[in-house]
Amino acid sequence: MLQQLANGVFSGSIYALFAIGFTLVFGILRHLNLAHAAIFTTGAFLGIEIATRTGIPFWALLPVVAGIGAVAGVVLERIAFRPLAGRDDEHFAGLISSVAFGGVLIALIQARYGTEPKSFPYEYFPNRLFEVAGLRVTLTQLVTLGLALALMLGLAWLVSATPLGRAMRAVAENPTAARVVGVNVDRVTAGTYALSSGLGTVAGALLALNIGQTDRGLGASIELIGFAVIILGGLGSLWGAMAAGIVLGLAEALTIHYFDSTWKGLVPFALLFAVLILRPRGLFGHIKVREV
Amino acid sequence: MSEPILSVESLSVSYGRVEAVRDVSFSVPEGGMVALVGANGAGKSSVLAAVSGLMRPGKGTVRLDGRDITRWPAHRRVGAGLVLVPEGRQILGTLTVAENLALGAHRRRAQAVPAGELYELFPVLAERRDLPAGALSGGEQQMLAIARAMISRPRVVLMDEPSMGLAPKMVDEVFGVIDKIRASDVTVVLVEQNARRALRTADTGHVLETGAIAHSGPASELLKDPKVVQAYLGVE
Amino acid sequence: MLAGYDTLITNIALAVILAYSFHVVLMAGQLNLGQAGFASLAAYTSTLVVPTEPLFGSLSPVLVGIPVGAAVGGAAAFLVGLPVLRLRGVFLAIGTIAFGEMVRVFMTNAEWTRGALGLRVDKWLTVDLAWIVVAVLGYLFWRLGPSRTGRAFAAVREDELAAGSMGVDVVRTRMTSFVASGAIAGVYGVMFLYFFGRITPATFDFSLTLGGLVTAVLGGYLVFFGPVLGAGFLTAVPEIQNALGVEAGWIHPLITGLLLLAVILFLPGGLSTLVARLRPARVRPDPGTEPDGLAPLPEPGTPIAELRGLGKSYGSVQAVRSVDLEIRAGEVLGVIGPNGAGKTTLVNMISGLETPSAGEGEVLGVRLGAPSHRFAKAGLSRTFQHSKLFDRLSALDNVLVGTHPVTRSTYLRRLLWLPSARRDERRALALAWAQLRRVGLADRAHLRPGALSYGDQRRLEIARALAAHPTLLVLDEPAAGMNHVEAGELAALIKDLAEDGIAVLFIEHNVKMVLDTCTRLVVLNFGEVIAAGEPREVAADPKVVEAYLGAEDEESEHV
Repeated sequence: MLQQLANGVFSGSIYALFAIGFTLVFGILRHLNLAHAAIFTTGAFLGIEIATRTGIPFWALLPVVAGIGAVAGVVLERIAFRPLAGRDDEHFAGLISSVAFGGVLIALIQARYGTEPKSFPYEYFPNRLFEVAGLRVTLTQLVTLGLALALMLGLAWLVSATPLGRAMRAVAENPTAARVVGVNVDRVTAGTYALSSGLGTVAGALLALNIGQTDRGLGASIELIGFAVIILGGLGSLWGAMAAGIVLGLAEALTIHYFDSTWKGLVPFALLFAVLILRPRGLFGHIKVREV
Repeated sequence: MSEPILSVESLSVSYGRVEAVRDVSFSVPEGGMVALVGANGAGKSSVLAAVSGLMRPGKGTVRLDGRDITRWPAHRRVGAGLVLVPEGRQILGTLTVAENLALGAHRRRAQAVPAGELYELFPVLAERRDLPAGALSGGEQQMLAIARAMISRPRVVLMDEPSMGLAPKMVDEVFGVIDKIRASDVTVVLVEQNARRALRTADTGHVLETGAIAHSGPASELLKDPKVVQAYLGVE
Repeated sequence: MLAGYDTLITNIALAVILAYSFHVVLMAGQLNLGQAGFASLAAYTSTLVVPTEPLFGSLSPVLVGIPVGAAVGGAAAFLVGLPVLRLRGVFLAIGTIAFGEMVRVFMTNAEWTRGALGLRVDKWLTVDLAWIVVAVLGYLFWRLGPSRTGRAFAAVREDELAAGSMGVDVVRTRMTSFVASGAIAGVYGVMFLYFFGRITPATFDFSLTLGGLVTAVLGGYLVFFGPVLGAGFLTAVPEIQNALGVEAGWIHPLITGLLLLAVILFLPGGLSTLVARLRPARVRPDPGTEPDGLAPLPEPGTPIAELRGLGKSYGSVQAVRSVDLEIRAGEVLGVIGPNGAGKTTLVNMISGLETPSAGEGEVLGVRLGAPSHRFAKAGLSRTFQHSKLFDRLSALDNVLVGTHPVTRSTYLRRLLWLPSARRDERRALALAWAQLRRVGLADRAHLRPGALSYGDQRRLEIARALAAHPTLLVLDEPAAGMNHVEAGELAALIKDLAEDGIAVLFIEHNVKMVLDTCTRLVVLNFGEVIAAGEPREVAADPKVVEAYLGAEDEESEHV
């Protein structure tokens, strides 16, 4: 039982890491970026390829992956969102154009890596097992959890306490007012996508490290859970997404314990459905629900 | 008279097919104050939107110190010391008062007024510096909007309807602050519906009617001109 | 000749049907992404009902499955819609996706569905039957476009607020499109099952949903044949690729993705806009008959609206406080006041867009607080401060939406080509053309609002409001942005309308125009009525002058 709860926390931290990049973009720019799953998948493949080719150590790998992810995020915003700004159907068109961008990205992944799953090099990461208070955890799990928490706290700090974060919150609340005080809204927008996609690629690489391999469907498998996390947490709320990620992981663990692992898939969506109907601002969210 | 610090030449602004401003020209000397008055919908706010960079004018030129800044984005104009106090205040309600002010200082950090000095000028903001700006009263929000512009030590301040929706006592306070700004040699362009009040404070006035300047002159003369009242109420 | 292509052609038909289930919600501006769930429910249910032997010895058993699928899908959509349609935009999208996933997990775990193994049935679906269904759907959507229901869909898509004010029941229209979407998805699910002979819960997953959405958007949802174009095009890509001998599996998704990106960025109306460009836009001509059967307006002087102590506050802000007002038939009532005085809030309450927080009132027999379409049905029409025209409809179609409160639904009768439907459409058309002529826009009937000058847009909005044959016409700043000449023409039009017995309530900043036009003037400041009565007396009231110009002092003697 306790073991399962611990596993729930681990998978929950990945959900949360996936979702904060997702919710960051929505919270600040009101874009629902459906290419985020493809960015996530890209991160997994990039991590594997760079690790295989260069053999650079794990701690150096993630910043490289994040850097490439950030660039991809900026390109994504330029192509799939910026040209739509000011159009009547901006929000709907953004959904479609980001789906399309994600599709292109996945096709390119297929072109480069083929359809077979790819794995990290053998023993790229020390495969150590710990026993803590009767719980068995792997080093990978511990590192993932620690990194996920550190990244999330780092993002929260960045948004709440730095000039860039202040400018981001200004844009989130009122882009016109932000321009009036001299915020370069285009740059903040690009920065938001860079952060979001950087986090997304790191999340992808971490998940791939945990399961040892990846395929093209990695992002799609977590995308729908990501929706559940951001709605449960309150669309646009960072703290909400973190908490909701962990809650979902735990809820899945409990379902497996009391029912059957096949029912686990129902949990996020049943929760999501209930929250949307009963409390659309999310369990933890404070922001007003915006109609997009 | 000295060279104008700000000049607007044959400015036209359109929303889609609607021409809100047609061929408007005026200039302000350094340290001077111009009032743009006129009824609602006369195009006053659109002039300021184009001057501050929130909108691209269809035609015309905006110059700051003789430099053509017509194509500059808004944030670059703020950096050069041309700052707008927007209509409806546009304070950031979820950010604290202090954060709103910090944003205002952000583009011109080198010149920025130290927060302490600013709070002396706006004591009401000092007490509320850690509150979300949305919790302030309408008058306090207007003060914050002005303070947020002043913290960057601007050279030209554009004010759009600073008295709108305020109770008469608050209107007095706002105009008191405008007098102080004038005394510190900052150039001011004031857009107001409260024409009498605005013209009493300004050197020069321009009356806008349906997007174009209908009358111009020394503010004290416009104040006595019955045509101004006519522009507002249509009564003779 | 087509032998050997049966599978391909049937696949196209299935893709068209799936796309139609998105088309019908996109037409009404709703982002339903639960189609996979509806299709799955319908397909699994049909296995319980559909016979395993041909009907009467020769008919395909799918003929039983199709109506069952439509019924199951439609009923499920109705039940899901009851809670979910309170949501909009991305929230609606995510909520419906969640429903689809719940169905998938449920089917995986249920006993009778044999879980992830799936079910097998005989392949009863033939290519002919698939295309017959496509033809029927195409017919249904072809007849829907220029019907009253079709216009209601378009109006809700373009602007819900304006649609409600034109008398369209927004809640009902959204639900109708949602149920139709579920029914078509249900039909798709059943046909899919009996074509491939096998389904698993994973058949109906999120990628199926995305595929359908992409097809519908690519084809274009503004014209009825959009899904056919989209499905044909998307199916053609891999075929062309095969014909060219390009093997790589990633080319197809790459091209699809790039194509979709190009369409959404450069052809917002989908591929069908290319086809539409080839044909010059046709406007249905004026039938030249007088619109008949319109109820007479009440006698001038009859009270038609009464407000008592009306107030509205937003948080701590009192936008309107204790306003008492009576409106009588045939009068022209002007409302003026400085910015932020509460004028728009007042008319929003009168027309049902906002609920009063204090006081009460009745307009044309409808109590304040009712939804806006009830006021429209009772004879109130309005325009908006920032024009809320339906951007993707022609000027004529905009005005046709306006006839909603005084016309009857024609869709079902149009399906049967009944002469009465034709009569009703001609009557609506005559009514619409009459209003276009009245405001002087008859020669611009074919243009979209975006192609009209600003003054013309404002007049078009008035024509749309007049098409409802209103007793009370509410105009929110109709002359804003007009030049003197246009404002003068508008004043003349308002006087004409008053002559015809229509009561006009209008907010305006052009005070000269108000004084020239209205028979009574009300001045608001800080949400309160500060003066009311004979226009010129009111305008000379020192309180009013002060509200507008600021307090006078010793420096200025005039006024």
